Amino acid sequence: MPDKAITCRVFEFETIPYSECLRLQLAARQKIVAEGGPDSLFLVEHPIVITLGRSARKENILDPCRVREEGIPVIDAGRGGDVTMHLPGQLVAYPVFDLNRHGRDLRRFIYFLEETQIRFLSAYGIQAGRRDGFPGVWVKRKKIGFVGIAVSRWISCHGISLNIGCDLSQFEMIRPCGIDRLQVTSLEQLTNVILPMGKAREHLLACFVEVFRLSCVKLPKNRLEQIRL
Amino acid sequence: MVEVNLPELGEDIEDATISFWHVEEGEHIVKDADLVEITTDKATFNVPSPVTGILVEVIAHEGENVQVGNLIARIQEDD
Repeated sequence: MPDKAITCRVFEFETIPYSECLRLQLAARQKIVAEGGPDSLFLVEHPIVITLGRSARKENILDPCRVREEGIPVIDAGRGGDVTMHLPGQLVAYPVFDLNRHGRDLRRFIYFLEETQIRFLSAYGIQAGRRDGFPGVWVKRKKIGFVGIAVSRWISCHGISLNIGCDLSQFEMIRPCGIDRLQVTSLEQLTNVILPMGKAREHLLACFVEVFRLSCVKLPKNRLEQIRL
Repeated sequence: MVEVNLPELGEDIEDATISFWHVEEGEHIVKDADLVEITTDKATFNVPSPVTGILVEVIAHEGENVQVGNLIARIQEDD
């Protein structure tokens, strides 16, 4: 890790469709490729969506009829990992980081992404941790934080999702991460605290700043036209 | 002929799985363009082409697990 803080632009969206946010991430990545531009961090919430990582098998969508009936989009995400779900009440963070500035080490990058979530949760008295061979963030045997990235030219896309106060019953439609009988949990379920998403974003950003030693420039919320990617 | 090896991905990563080749044998690729996507842990990683030329031979095929440093392809560099 370098001693000097790394400049990072922060984009926050109360809600943004998955595909639209992916397009923004790719544009941010292109900006780094073309001009050596700064890192970007997207802090968002998505309308309900199921995404398939590279290792995903279709049968990990356990209830395809319900998925179809409810019109839930299923998207090939091109990231690492298996199937996952994003939904309201889940905080999603996409670091589009030039890993040349962060040490060119995929495992360490994932470790730091998990560390960001563990620190976040510890502020609410939740002792979360890692499980050997099972990436992500766990509270005992329940999963609360997810991780999946895609790196091209050592620039990352995709990232992490953290269950804050989402409807956990929705996860019954899938076999999250392709793991049988995987139980998921959320901050709300564990603490009975209802954490407003604005506060959660602000706090997660502080954890990113600490773990990745960032110097952040916040861009105005929900003002796409002001985003000069 | 330029040999392409599975690059270093980090201190503790010894291997990765080939997910797919962005170009087929006989096709042209430019330097730094995505040549092959590999997966490891929870990451996909695109290996850039080291040179501009023709992908002559794919050594490691889709689904194969490869050790870091091992030969995965040969590219005939343009003159």
